[in-house]
Amino acid sequence: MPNQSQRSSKLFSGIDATAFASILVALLFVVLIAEGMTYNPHHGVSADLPKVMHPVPMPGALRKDVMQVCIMRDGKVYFGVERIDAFALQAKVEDRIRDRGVERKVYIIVDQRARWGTVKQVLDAVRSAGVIRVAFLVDQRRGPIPMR
Amino acid sequence: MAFSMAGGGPSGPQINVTPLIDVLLTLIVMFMLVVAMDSEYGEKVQIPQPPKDQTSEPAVERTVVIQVVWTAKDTPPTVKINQEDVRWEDLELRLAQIYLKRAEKVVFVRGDADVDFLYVANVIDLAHHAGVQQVGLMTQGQQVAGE
Repeated sequence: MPNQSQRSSKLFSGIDATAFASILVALLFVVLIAEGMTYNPHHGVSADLPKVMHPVPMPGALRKDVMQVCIMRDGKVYFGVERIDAFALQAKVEDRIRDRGVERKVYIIVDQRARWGTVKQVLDAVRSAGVIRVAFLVDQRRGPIPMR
Repeated sequence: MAFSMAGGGPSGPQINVTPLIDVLLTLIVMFMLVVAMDSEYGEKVQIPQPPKDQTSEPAVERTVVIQVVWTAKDTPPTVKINQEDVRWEDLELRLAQIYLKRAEKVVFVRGDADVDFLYVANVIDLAHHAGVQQVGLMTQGQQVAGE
């Protein structure tokens, strides 16, 4: 005659981890995709964006083929991921807008503590290249203008 | 004669769709979160091209130029509308009053080289919110007709 405990152990089923594993795999893929979509133009070099009260959404800035210029606090200028001199920017922009599919607009990321003089140099180069439409990327702020 | 699969032999194998549903639900929720969180914000501006012929520029007396004037290190710059000093708190209201009855909602912004970009960005933002449709940035000490 079989033991009572032996008989009941056969009836027990283990926890089905398939669903849990599936969710984990799905999460992994989603995080990977989100990471790939996240805007990160300079591989770790990040600008502290100015915060303003009423910015407008700019979904176009997330496209991979747009022209992006980044001006850091110390005056360094990047065109896409490439470090560049502000005076050499004109030739780069001219080169890019020869492609018919490229939007004739430059998205500029400026650190909030960057000097306006540096930004003016970049704007002059962009204008000399024949582009007049510019957008500054900013963050949304809630509260008055911070006066240091 | 009745044809029945039921009863008798063992039931056939069935696909368990529960994990599939779990995965799909997770994907939907995650994509909704990613789309909702992933947005860029910005301020649109124009860089006016210098006139080809300086003498042919008609005099426009209604041009509005906002100046951001550097004062001292670690001190907020002052702001002027057509050479007239304006407090930062009053800037938006003042611009709204100016552009209330104007059809051409254009403003030019000029800043000193030492001014932090933060203040210029806030001027652009306040101008847009006050009803200005086009903000032109002046870079090389340009003068606007009628200024």
